[in-house]
Amino acid sequence: MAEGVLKEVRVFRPKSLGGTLRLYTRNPGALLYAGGTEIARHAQRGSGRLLELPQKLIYLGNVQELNRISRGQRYLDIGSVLDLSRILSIGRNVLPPVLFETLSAIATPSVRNLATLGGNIALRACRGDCLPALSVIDTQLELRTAGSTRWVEVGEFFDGRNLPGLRPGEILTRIRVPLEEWDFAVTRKVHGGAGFTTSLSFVGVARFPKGSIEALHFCIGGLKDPVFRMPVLEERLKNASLPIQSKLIDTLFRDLADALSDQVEDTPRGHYRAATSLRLFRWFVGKINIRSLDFL
Amino acid sequence: MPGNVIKLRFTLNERPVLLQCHPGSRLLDVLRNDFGLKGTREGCARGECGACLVLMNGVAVNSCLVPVFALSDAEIVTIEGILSLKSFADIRKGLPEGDVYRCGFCSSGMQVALAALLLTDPEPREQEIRRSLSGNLCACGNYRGVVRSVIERSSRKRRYGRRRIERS
Repeated sequence: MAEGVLKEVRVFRPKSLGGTLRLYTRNPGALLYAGGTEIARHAQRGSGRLLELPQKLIYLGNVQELNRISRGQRYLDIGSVLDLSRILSIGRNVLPPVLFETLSAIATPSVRNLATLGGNIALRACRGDCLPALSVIDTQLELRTAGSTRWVEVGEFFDGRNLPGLRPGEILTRIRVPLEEWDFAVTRKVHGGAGFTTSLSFVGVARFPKGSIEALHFCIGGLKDPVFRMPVLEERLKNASLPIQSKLIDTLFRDLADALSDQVEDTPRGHYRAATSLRLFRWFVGKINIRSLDFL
Repeated sequence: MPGNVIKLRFTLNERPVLLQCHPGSRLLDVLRNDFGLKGTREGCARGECGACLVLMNGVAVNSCLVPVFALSDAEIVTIEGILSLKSFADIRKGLPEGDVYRCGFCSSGMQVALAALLLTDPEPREQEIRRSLSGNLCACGNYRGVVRSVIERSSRKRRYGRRRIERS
């Protein structure tokens, strides 16, 4: 295993996943990094403030297994340290449209050359904007330690405090994106303020092959939960005939409003986020109704 | 903690360098303070304005978002390198002249973004030029002038190339 040049702070640059996991088990306090954008943001800002770092750093960018994209018939497996530009270079035709749109809307091209998908998902300091898009298409995350592997859904990845639920010695290694086809997909991002703040985002997908809804998923990001989905509401829309009746829409709207009241703080910003989420949901359902007319 | 140091080897403007600095520094700090390369500017310090762009392994990145410990074995080219290195001579022909920029604060970042584009596509279309500049904020707002200049230069290069082929 190669070791970076060092005096006090050590940078390890492992090349295999097995070696990385063993190294991380031996050094549980080490800081893992690949893109490093979030770390640099907290570093010196011209004011002489220096970032305190642990004595050991592990660079994941050289690990081959984490740098791969493989495409099967049903899934696209994306290595967690691939930068967003490289993922976008796969192209609009292969990536699910909601994921392509979401990644294209993250930061600027030069930041996307650095930022990684794994960082966007597993950062503790800020929640990534790609989470709603990954959740809505039922993406699975592979989490590995030196001796075990487990798969979790994006929504299950976060613990009770809404922090990434990584166990000691565990690393996010792969993101498995289903390549399911959807008849209709929308993404909307409402900017939440300065850079690196979580934006309010709405992502919805629907499939309606024969004049009724076969499946409909929607997810809102930027609320208290990193990913907010309502499976009960999605289930109620299943098999609903198109166009969706306004009475049903009003009922769903009320239920969503109730659920959103727990998801936002009692501040003007929170009220704005809840109201905007409701407007986006109504807009999404309205769009499905308009789109279904094209199918008839 | 402030006594911590890190030693790194990387390539800066095609010269191998050995750097010893605080591990919590950013590439931007190192370029400006340790190497005196003041062409790379600090604007927003959070990856929004693009004033601090440099080429890292051939792609444009915000040096304010690159921690110094990520530099091991990296190849960094700054605006000074783009404007002086022989290997960038062709790229320089496609870059706009200095008088296109007004106040000039964004110019180095824009030149680096355009150089990164020209490295992959020597004759870019307007849409690609605009996309590559989408991470550069210009307070004077002369994007149109910059885009037009790059298009003119690449079409001039195309015409010159065609003429050379006809002659041969």
